[in-house]
Amino acid sequence: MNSLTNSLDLVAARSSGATKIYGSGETEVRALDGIDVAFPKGRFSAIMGPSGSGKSTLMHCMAGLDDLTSGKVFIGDTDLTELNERELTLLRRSQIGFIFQAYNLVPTLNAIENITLPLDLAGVKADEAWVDEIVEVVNLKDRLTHRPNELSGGQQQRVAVSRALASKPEIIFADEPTGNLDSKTGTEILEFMQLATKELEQTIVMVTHDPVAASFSDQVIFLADGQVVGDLEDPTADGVLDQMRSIGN
Amino acid sequence: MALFKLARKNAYAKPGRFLLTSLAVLIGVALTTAVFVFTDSLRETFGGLSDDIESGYDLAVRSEIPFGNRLNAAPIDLGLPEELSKIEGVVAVQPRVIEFGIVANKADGSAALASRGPNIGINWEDSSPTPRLFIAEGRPPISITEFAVDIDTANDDNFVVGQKYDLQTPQGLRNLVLTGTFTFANPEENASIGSKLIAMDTRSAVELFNSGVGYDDITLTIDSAYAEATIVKNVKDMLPSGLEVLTRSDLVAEQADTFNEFINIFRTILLVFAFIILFVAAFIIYNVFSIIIGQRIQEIGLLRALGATGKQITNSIVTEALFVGIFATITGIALGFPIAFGLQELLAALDFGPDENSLPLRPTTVIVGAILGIGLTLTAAVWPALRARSISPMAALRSGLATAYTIPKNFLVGSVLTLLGLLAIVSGFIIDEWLIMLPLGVLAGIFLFLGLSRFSNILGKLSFLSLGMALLIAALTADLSTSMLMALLGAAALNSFLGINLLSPLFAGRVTYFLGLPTAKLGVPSKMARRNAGRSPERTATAASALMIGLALVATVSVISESLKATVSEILEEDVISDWWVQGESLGPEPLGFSPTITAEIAALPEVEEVLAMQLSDEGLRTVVDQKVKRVYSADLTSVPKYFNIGLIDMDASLIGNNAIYLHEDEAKKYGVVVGATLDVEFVDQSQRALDVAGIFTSKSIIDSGWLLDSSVYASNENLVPKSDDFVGVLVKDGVSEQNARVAINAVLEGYEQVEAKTKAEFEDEAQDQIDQTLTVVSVLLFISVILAVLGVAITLALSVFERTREIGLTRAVGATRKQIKRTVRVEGILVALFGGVLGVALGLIFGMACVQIIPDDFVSELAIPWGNIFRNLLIAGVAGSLAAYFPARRAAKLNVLDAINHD
Repeated sequence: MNSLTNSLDLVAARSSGATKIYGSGETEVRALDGIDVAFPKGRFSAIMGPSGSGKSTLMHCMAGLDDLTSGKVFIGDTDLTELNERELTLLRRSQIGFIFQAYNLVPTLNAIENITLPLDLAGVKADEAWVDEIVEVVNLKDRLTHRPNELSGGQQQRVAVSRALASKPEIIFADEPTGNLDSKTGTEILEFMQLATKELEQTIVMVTHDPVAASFSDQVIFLADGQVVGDLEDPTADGVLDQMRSIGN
Repeated sequence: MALFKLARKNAYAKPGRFLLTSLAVLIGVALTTAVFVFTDSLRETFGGLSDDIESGYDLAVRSEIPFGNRLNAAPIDLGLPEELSKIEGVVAVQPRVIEFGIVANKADGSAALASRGPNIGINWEDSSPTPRLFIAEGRPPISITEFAVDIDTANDDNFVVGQKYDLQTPQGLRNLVLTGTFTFANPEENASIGSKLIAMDTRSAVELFNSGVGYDDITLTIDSAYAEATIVKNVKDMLPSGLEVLTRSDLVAEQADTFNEFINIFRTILLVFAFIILFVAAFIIYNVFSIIIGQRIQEIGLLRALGATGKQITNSIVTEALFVGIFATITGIALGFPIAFGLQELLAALDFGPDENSLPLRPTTVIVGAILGIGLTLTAAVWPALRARSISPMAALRSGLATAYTIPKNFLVGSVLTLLGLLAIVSGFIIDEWLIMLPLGVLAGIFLFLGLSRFSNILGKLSFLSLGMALLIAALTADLSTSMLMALLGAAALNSFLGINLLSPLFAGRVTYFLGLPTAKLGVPSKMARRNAGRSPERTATAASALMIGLALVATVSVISESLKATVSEILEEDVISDWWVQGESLGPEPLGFSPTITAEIAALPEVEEVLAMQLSDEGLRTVVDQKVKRVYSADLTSVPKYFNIGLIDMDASLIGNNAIYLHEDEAKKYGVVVGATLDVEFVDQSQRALDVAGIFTSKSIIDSGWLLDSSVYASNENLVPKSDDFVGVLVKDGVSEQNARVAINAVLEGYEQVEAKTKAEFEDEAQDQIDQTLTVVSVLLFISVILAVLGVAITLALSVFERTREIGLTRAVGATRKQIKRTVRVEGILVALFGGVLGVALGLIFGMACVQIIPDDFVSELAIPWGNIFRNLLIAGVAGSLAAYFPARRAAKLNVLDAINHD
């Protein structure tokens, strides 16, 4: 258990005994095996682990996209396992933001429409000053009316980040956000995510297997075989790499 | 609103796909609109025409008819006009004569026959201050040696004023001088509506057209200083019984009703085809939306992850369907006009109806168009849209995550819906009206499906087909009216179409795999095509279903017509004895009668032993006991068995006389009469008679109504004497060759081009030709839906190719040639089409056979299956599938290998 769970009111999301089992009998796979984690508010956390460690599954379950076999996950004070499908949808809409590896923009909508999409879905009017601020920060001002296929990969991911920020969610989950980008653009995005936590007081949880990406975060949680096997505060790329190596062995 | 925007953008983003999706509905809506606009325009024109035709008088006096055709009404006494003219306030009295079948022969001896209307003889109105005939050239006819024709007939058939021409009358051929041409009802434009008009002076018209017996009606012009009602009352008071007086507006309305009746039949037939097309269109829309959703699974998952509710997803897809529906409706309605215009031009070119009509757009047209266009699109898209709501947000993160929508199980809701379905079907039977049975049958299927699906998926899937089969069995076994049975069959067919669409995914893969075996020598392309067709069996099945419907209908119609042909041959071989028959050209379902003088001349030929003159009166009499109007044949009962076999089972020759009738056993049973009993009937002239039942017969193949009078019944009442014979059987003397008989009979028929002598064999050929022609016309109309279905196959293939872009790239990368790729797509197209074809033909055969079973035996009794025709249609389906694959195949072959591999 990491050191920050003791101040619950500062926690944006946490899990307790989170277990996810696929299949049964001989083919049973324990993707998550009783995980207890907490992600503090206003911080940039990273989840790392080799492929198959359960890091993506953990993120999906914490974000209410997938359900647990047993255990609980909380966003703020809300127990996701108590919610029905509709309540989960409404929670995702208002309190969770997503950034995906493959950008996942709606191809028929332009940049600004993609950014305000979650707000539009909720039928909420966008806080224009806030959206302007985000757009300013991510430097997309002159690209707002372009469709995704008219934008570079970096630009698309910046749109995706802006979309996640636009509704001022409780927490943003990012799934390998730099996986499809070259290192320079990737760095830009990571710096921007850093900025979002520091300046805009956002909470971001990022799943990655890239030690360099993880080094931009405030804290790293390491997973292996569905269990938490370590954590690291204020990580550096080398520090992360060392930890990863030790898990590998 | 966000998803509304998204729906709109999705529609814009792929304009080609949007158009293709709309196209099917659009064509259906366009055809429906065209039918409405066109028939409304016909109604408008004919409404105006009714006003023109019934013009130039204030009141009309005519015989009352209790039932039946006005043409058979008793003639009005020649002395009545004078009596009428004595009534105060009556300014003018105009007796009128109208007789059908008066034909003028052209200079070359051929008959000037009206192709799209009757040939009519009328009198020149000489006492009315406002006659309906307006002289165009020459002068009106004034004696029995003169006549006039309408100006269009004169122009079309080259009649020259001043020349002599033969006129075919009930009194035989008369050689008369043409004194002038005229326009009818309107001095500017001849309003003869495709009929050809002959006019003679009133006295001669009575003499020649009405055998001198009387007038058909009398019109009165009244002094406007008198109240119309007063004069009507005075006229009524002096009229002998059996006559009635009407105002002009009554007659205009009556005339318009007659036209409307015809227009409505026409409209119904055209609408049936439009609806078939729309039904097929629904399948195409359903398929396209299912595929679109399949392609957008990731996007939908993303929207779900971002907080879109299932309802929002469904709404956005329904909204997109709404755009398609609205677009299809608007363009469809707009496109309906040129089609209506085309129909109008076509009919004008065929000399039917006036050619300068307005094309009115009535609110009803728009409402029906919108209900069909938008309603149908929404209905077809709702199911895919409901399935889309169950797409998990995880779909955004993992590609290739398929989704299956299962109806939530709920016994209460299921029971209620199932009961509603059963209720629908039971009330259909209780109401016992075909027009209600048909929609209720389909509604029942939908309720049962929705209800049973809540118990178990497979029950739901089986519901439509089970109901279809149950209705089919009911249609084959129930004792109901023919129209009800046909409605049951129709509902059975619609339910079966839906049922097979639901069930065929279960076997689409295997069937297409086997259907494709003959292409195995093509190697990998064949194997891939066969596997691809089975890969999304639901999609293959739906694309094939649309085609199935069209082909099933074509097969049904061809089974019916083949059976009809077999029946005709059977009747001619078994029941017709006489070798020669003389008959007038058919106009519509009934042959045109001809002058009895022709019959007499044939009888007098040295080559001829004897003749049998037969007359047919469609609404000839009605029974007193239950007031049923009957179609009656009449002939010399004693001679009948020498000409054809009606299967007399009981007969008393001593009863044959001027009150005698032969009845079919069913009719005899219905009225509880046996040979020797009497049966009370009433004729069109209101005279009553107790007919002697002189014989009971069993075969309805020739006397389809089961009523055969002795012709002497008519001879004893001069009001009823038939002015024409309808069929004449001829027995030639022994030793007279067919050739000699033909020459002799044709010599008599010289001058009556529309009357022909035919042998049994010629009769058969002609009947078969006619059936084939009808089959062709109907098939062509049905093939419009087949073409649409092929379009559906093309859309499906195009979307499949798009979906498999990466895969095609990979196949190319490992060495497949463009040709092989093309072949793969083409074979898949053929397999999908053949799958639909096989299903369609199988269903068509079943329903065709059921139809033959249900149609009364006196119409179709023999079952025959046109295998050649059916295999040809299967072949057409295959070729159509290959054509449908043309563009998708080309696109697939042209893909750039690298781009394709990187496509996601």
